[in-house]
Amino acid sequence: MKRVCASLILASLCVVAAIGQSNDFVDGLIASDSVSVGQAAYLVLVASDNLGEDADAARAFELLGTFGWAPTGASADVPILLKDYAYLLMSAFGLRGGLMYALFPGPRYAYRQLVSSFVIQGRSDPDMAVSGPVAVRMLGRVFDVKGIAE
Amino acid sequence: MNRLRSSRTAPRALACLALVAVLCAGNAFALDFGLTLSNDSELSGGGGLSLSQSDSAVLWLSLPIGASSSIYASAVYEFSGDFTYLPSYSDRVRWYSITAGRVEWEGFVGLSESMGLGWSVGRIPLQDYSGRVLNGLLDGAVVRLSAGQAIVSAAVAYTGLTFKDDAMILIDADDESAWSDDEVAFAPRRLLASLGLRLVELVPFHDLGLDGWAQFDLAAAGGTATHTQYAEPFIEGRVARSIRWRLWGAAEFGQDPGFFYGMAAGGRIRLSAPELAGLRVTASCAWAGGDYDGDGAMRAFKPITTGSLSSVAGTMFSDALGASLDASFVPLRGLTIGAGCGANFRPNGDDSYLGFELTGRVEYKPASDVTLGIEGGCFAPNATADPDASLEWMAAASATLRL
Repeated sequence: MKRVCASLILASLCVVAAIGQSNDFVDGLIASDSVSVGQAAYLVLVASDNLGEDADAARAFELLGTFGWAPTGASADVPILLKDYAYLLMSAFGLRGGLMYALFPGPRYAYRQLVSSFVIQGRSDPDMAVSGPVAVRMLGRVFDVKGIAE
Repeated sequence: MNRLRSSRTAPRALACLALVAVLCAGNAFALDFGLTLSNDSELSGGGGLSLSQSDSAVLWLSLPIGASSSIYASAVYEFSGDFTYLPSYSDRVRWYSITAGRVEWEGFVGLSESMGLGWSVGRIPLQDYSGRVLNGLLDGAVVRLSAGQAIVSAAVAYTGLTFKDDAMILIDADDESAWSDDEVAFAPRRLLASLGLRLVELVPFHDLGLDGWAQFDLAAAGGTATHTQYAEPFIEGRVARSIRWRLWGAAEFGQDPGFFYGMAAGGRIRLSAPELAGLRVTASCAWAGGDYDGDGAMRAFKPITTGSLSSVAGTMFSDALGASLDASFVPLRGLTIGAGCGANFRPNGDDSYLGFELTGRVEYKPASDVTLGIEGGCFAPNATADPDASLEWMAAASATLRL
């Protein structure tokens, strides 16, 4: 358990350092059992340099709609589903997906792609909620994947 | 037989899917599903020339059941055909077979800081430590209890609902006669049970263990019941950062109803160097004992599921010895190139050397959901032992798309 906590703190510090987000936001995120669409949008868009750090979750959600990456029918404060978070990560970081993702880009094949590249680990399903620690860890792994790809 | 297989199995596969669908109803929003399409073509020659073609579509679904378990279910449609062109044309085509693929309820719960219980129930992959005694998809259940450095496992399975050419059970004369009977679609009815113990890093960097398997012949009246049991101790570990090794032995005990026994063993050493383009070099050896004592109790080793020592020659793992060397590397992302060689022997024969095999393979994953592969090889038999034997060769291509 200590090892898990230590690795989570380390991952969080790496992500914070990499994306330059405020400690308060990341602290709140890590304590969260389910990340909202707005929080996820802020986390990912700031980390991918699509949004300035001084913006907020509402502005991030608005930008999500502009880019066409917002989950269908979602509002900023509802919990984001794992497949939608996967699609957000794939889109924001411009990750290359599989053949089916290239033909039909969307949450379904984004989820598959991140499972196959080990960004999503452990027991999961596309419609589960995303906890704060999971969101941060996935973001950290996306940096690794992007590093390898580049 | 093809029609027989399909008509008998389709209701069973549909029943499995219906059961899963009912279970899914309560978790409809957490369901993941997909379709995997595969093509395998193999051209082979030697005494003749033939093409083996197989195309399959696997429809699968997966859903979580609570926080600690999940269900995976799949149904398989397959077309297969064997076409012989030389010395004369003949074909054997099975236009369709529909059956259940892997259907599994698996889970894991932590019982304490150092204890956990895992399980798997359904049509599940089962194998012994080496994969040489039993290796296949069978109907049964496995339970694993991990406590500290020990992992205890137990399994039961039934073979009679699996196609005979999937299960490959050839233990006694009844099995061989069923194998050659086109009216028989399913594998011999046998009940399997196992108990296993693995001690993790009891010796630094090494695991020790013992696998025990037993099969009970449920042959119908009139047939000969052959029961066998297998005890398989093993050790595996690493001697340096990049070198791993394993050694195993298997003692077979049987009753038909007279007592008999057989022996088998094997070992492997593998060098992995990720920094050298993912280089992996593996040397391995496997031996299955023969009938070395004439009329005595020793017989040729018979595993529960029959396997092969080599990919081109297809030397059965019974009264045989094989030594092989294999190397592979990853020159580009998604591209794996490999080559191997091996020699087969029959220590119990007059001329023990059977022949030498060379193989090569290329696998390319241009995307995460597409896999392409080509493979080729040849087997040069020992002309001294069998002057009529000719060089055997094969070339195969495969493609898989996951939708």
